[in-house]
Amino acid sequence: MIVLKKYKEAIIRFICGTGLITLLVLAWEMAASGGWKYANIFPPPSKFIKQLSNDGFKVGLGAQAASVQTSIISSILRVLTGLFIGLISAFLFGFFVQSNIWLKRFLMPLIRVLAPVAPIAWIPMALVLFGIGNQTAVFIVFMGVFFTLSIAVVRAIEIIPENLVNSAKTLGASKFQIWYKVIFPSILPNVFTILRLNFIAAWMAVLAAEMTGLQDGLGAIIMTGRNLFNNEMILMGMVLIGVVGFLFDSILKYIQDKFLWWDKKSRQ
Amino acid sequence: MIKQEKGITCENLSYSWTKHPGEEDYIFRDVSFTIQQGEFISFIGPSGCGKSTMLNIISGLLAPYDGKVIKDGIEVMSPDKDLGVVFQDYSLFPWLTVKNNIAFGLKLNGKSKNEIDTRTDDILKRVGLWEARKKYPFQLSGGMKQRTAIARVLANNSNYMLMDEPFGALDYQTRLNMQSFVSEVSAEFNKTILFVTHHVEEAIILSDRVFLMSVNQKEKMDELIIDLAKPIDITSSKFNEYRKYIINHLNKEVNF
Repeated sequence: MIVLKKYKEAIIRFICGTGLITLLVLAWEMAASGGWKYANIFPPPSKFIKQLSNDGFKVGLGAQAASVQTSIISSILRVLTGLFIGLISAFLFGFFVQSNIWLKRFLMPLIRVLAPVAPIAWIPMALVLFGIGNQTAVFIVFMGVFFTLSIAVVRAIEIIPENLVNSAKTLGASKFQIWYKVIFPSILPNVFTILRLNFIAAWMAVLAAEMTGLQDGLGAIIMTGRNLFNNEMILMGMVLIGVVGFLFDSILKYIQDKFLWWDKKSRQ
Repeated sequence: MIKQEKGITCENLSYSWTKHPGEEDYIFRDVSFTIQQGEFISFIGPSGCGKSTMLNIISGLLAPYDGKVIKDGIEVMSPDKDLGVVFQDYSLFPWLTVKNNIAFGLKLNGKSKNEIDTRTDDILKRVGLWEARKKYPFQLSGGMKQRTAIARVLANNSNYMLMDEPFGALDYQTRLNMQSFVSEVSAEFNKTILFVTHHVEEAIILSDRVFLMSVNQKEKMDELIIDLAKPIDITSSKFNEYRKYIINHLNKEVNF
């Protein structure tokens, strides 16, 4: 019972979340079997899920076809690579800009102009630069997260309580020690929250990039489905995108709650 | 000119928030004083008189507009771990446990793990934080947080402890408790303490001398020598004379 109490909220959330989805799926199935007129455009789960268990199911045609598992893993790896490079670059950029007021005055307006440009707008240029392939997808993810994360890092550094840095100074910290022992841990929870929000943007960006003709990836499933006029394939792709994205966000949330709790807690 | 004796000497300190101050823009001007090693000095005055600014300048966190601070014969140009500071808002590192907060300064200086452990454990026991050593700051009461902040300075073995309204955010009971704690600490660890407060009784109870700062007279800082037998009897006539003197000083300053 104690265990139940501890996880009470989690259990309630799980029941509510899965409950609503189950209800919607049931309604969808009933509508389709009851002769819904759009059942061809929106084939119900009972139809498209079968695609997954079909061993012969491949994305693409002929020798270039890739399995669903490969597609999922490819998409995840592209997002992770782009996010990772974007995060590291944003930290370096943020620290660089915050080290001197003139750097900030020159560089921040540029970043703020580039940030609102949707990552998919870079696709035409990326295709010319990198061709169709992993590099393009990673580049698009990077463009989708780098500017926002940079702004987040700069802002997070700005709002660090002055006395936190002052107390480190009076305890004998060197400039470098202040950066990595005080400023870095101070901004980590804040930046991670933005990273979580940005993961969703990155996830959307990678799909757009994969629709440019990559052979595998979740975006490629949708594109193949479109080319084959196969709505079952498109819907299955959409479900996979949603479920994988959800699982990924859950992992990020777990990391945040478990290892980066101090921002929230120290405000209490 | 370099002076050799231990202690803090402030020579003609001035401060202003503007770069080219007119007569009115100074927060204080040409203030000089000397603090001997081992003394407990309180700075008291109305808000806006520059108490905290004074402390920040002495700690090296803020550069004076004019004048200089000399500590043990050497001019203070930047923060120095010999001048430990305790802030009103505690400023503990929220991601570190009490023990690691206290060890923070020691770890900066590349001491061995053994040495750091021995020193922090000793401090933890002496300031009554042993039980709380594994807790994080958000799990502590205000008084415990401030104890940790003080212990952090003690662990660093700073000769000087600068305290900027350290008990301003604490409730009455905790405040009394912390007053006796600081009193014990200053005796036991033989620290020179510079203490900013706006609490009259607190200043008298703790200090050897009280510096009275002023908003209207920027070029003068009155000084009151406290000569009371310990333990201090707050009902004694002498205590009340001091109290009256300081309150009169503060009342002259009140501008509504």
